[in-house]
Amino acid sequence: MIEAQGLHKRFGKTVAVEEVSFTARDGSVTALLGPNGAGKTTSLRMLYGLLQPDSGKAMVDGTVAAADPLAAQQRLGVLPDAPGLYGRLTAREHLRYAARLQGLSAVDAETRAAALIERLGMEGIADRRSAGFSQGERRKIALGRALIHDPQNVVLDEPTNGLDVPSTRAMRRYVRELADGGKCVLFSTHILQEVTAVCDRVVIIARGRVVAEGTPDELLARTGKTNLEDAFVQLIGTEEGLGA
Amino acid sequence: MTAKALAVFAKETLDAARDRRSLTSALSFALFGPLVLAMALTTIAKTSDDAPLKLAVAGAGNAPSLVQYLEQNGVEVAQPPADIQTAVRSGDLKLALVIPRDYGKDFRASRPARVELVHDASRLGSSTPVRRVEKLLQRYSAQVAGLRFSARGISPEVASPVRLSEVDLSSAASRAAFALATFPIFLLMAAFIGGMNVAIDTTAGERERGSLETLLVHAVPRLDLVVGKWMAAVLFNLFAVLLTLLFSFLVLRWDRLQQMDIPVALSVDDALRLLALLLPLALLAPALQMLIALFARSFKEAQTQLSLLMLLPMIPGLLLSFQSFEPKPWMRAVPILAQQVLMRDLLYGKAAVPAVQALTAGATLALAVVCIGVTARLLHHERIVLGR
Repeated sequence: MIEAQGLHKRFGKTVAVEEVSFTARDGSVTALLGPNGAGKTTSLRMLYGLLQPDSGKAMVDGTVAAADPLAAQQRLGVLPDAPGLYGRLTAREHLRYAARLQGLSAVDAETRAAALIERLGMEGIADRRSAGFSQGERRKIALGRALIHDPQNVVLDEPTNGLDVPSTRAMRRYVRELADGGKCVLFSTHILQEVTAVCDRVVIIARGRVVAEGTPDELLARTGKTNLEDAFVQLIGTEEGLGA
Repeated sequence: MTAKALAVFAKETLDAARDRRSLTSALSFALFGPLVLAMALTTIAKTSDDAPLKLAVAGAGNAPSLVQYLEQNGVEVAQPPADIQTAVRSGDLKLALVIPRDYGKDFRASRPARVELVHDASRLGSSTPVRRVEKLLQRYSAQVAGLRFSARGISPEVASPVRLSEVDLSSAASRAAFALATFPIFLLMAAFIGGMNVAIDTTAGERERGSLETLLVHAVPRLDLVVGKWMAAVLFNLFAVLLTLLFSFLVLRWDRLQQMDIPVALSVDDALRLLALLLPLALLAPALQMLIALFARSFKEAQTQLSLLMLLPMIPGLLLSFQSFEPKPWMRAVPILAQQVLMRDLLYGKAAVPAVQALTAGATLALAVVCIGVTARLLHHERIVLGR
């Protein structure tokens, strides 16, 4: 379970996150939906311990990320904004490295890497160097890396950004499978379609604040609209920065 | 050493070994230093004053006493080629002395008798023999002038109000020692260049590629990350230092230099001592470079800054290459500078004091530990990690 309580973060004079509170439960997919620049990435970074909140706290299975980042990261799989691959390493080497960094033994690292290569359909690229891989292939490696230690909680920052249709569909399928397997999945997006396709719950964030939270149906009922797009536009107050 | 630090070390070593830039920067320098040393030493041997000077003399029969004087002073008189000017211009001949036909007539009449020294001043290595011949001719001229003054009842001393006598104590051997004094600088640079690319690539490079954030979301203590990366850079450093030392060792034991009577052979013992001395430095350099590179915005910027940093230790190094420079006690505790002092002591055959060596090594290692610690702390800073 992932909880954000009153997160607040500023960089110099710019307030990136004003007040963000939400809960992402086990066994469901929670979307952090908001236009570009709403504070999604900054909120997630506080969650996985890369940024320290100025006030409020982010918790992973009850562990405060800022207080004990290593324990939080142990229970967290993260697919950051940029895949950040090493061009001279193969897909398998990336997974192996991530496994060792998360504290798996050499033998377990090998087994887990092989299992994820199969599950994510990376057999064809497993032993090729990653320089020159397509966006979809890169994202698969990054996802495999996030899942390498079989974490209970998975955070994905715009996981389908820049992917073609087949890769996007595959990514959504993986996300769905994770939640159906009992994991807590939190992902950020600015794409409405994504929400209807995979999400159980939506947290809408705009200008650094959570403006609404609930299931898609609850949000429709609250706004009195018949389609989600109209509901979001009303909640956010603008159409700016949203993707179809 | 934790398993996670070892995992980082293994990954960075593999990554760097596949990076041609890292390998060439470690390798090329290891060859460069010894090569420069070999060239310097052979040049010194070639231009040595002590070697007999070969001089082509045209019209030797016109001035038998001058030629005899030259031969008495270590000049080997040779037959000139048919076309002297062409031979000199093409470089086949370094210099030639031309004695015109009327030399004898003028000489006997006590008029200035003309001789020509043909050479090409733009050619490297021609100035030393030219200077030697000029000096000999002047001396001969002064000697004859003296005789002529005496014959006329005047003391020759009247004609020389000032007498300059140059005392040049340098010999080929001592100049070789001077060239050899630059040798520690090459070793030192190897310890800085060998792992530099790895140090930059694993810090500034990692952030520039956007992989630093991904790396930091894993449950790894920052210190493990820094230590693993540092060890990989150290490995490349040691590789470069070892190669430089090995090649230098081979150059200094090269038969051709031995025949030239230049007493510069490096014993196996001395080579090992140099290695022991460089070891703490090979550990410090990557730690220092990683710390600095972490502040750079890009790989290129880090490279520029670290290249400038390289020049810093070279300044005291050049100072120290003069034999007369006497190191102060505090220099023993300043990393980089201290190693240069120690290396110089070793090459000049001064006995090593274990306490002094321990002080130098200790100060160097302490600084390395501080650098690693600070780098690990910096990885907690948002500005450093996200490059704001």
